Amino acid sequence: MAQAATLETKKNLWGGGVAPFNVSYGKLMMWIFLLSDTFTFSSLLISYGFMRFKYDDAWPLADNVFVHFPFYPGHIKLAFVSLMTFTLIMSSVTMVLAVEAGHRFDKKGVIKWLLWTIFGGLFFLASQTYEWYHFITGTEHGKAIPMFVDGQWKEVVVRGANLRYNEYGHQLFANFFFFITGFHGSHVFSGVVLNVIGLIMTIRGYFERQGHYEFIEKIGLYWHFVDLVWVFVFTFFYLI
Amino acid sequence: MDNYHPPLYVPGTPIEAPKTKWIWRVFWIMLIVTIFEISFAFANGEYHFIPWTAQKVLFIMLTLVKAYYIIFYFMHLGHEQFNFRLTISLTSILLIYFIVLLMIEGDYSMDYRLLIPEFIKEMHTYRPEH
Repeated sequence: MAQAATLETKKNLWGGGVAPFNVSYGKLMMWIFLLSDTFTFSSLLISYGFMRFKYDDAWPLADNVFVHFPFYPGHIKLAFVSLMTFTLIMSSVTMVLAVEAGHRFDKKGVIKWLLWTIFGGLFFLASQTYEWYHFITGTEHGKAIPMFVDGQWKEVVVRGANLRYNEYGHQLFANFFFFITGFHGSHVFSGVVLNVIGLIMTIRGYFERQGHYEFIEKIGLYWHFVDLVWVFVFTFFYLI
Repeated sequence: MDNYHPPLYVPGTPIEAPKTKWIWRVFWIMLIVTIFEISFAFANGEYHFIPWTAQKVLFIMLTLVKAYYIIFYFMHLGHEQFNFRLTISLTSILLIYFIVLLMIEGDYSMDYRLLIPEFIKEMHTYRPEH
């Protein structure tokens, strides 16, 4: 049977009636969607890279901005963002394990690993909230920057960063930070929602009746893509 | 019409034992690369082993290594058909070229921003002496 199918595939690959890429329609379209999402994210990261190099002299180093760690009174560089990266890589691993369990039709395994994935995603979102909070609140003393107030330029002491001012350095840094990590965070959020939907469908036995766990594989692709984007955001924002 | 479908579940078949060794191998590789990146960023910030530009290049390359492991193992692209792999990866590889291109362009743009006012001034005051 499988032999005959391959022979036919070779005979008339694009003539219809076969899957030329040997993947199902839904999975292929998921890949195409992820490719288009790659363009969106890379346009953001490319414009970030351009501006970061253009205003290299006024650009704040992320090491000196994101220095907070929960329950630790002092400042510690790079620690919290490493924890976030670890969480996301870990949740990606649990997602692979859920997909693998789905291949073996192991319902209990799928439920267990999806729950861990959802936990990782929520932990990541909470960490991002923590980081945004500290970035918006800023340092205790603040910094005096020139601002246009009441029709003239004045030195105004500002604290923290938002879309109007940024005490740490160039304004574009804050704008890009909010936009890129916010966009990525919304992706993580929708990934968590998809995982919850998959979890409910698994618990209700939908995939056993359908005969396969391909939905888990598709949302797994999405989840890994979100992880992949974070790897790039982490490098471009925090390390470079 | 789509004649491809994954192997279907037959009710009552025993569940196989998990084969997760490769997943954990990829996980350890990614974790070690990440730990190396963070500790190197920290150490290089303190002691300056290699110049800043070299560090940037190193980190971008390590990021691409991690991206390779995520895409080819976790997203299972390495086990798909060759033309499908080409469809996805060729487009993304062109993006890397674009990132590098605009970084160089941004660097030039900074030079322009910092240096060109004097240059323009010079150009406007320049009078050829015949």
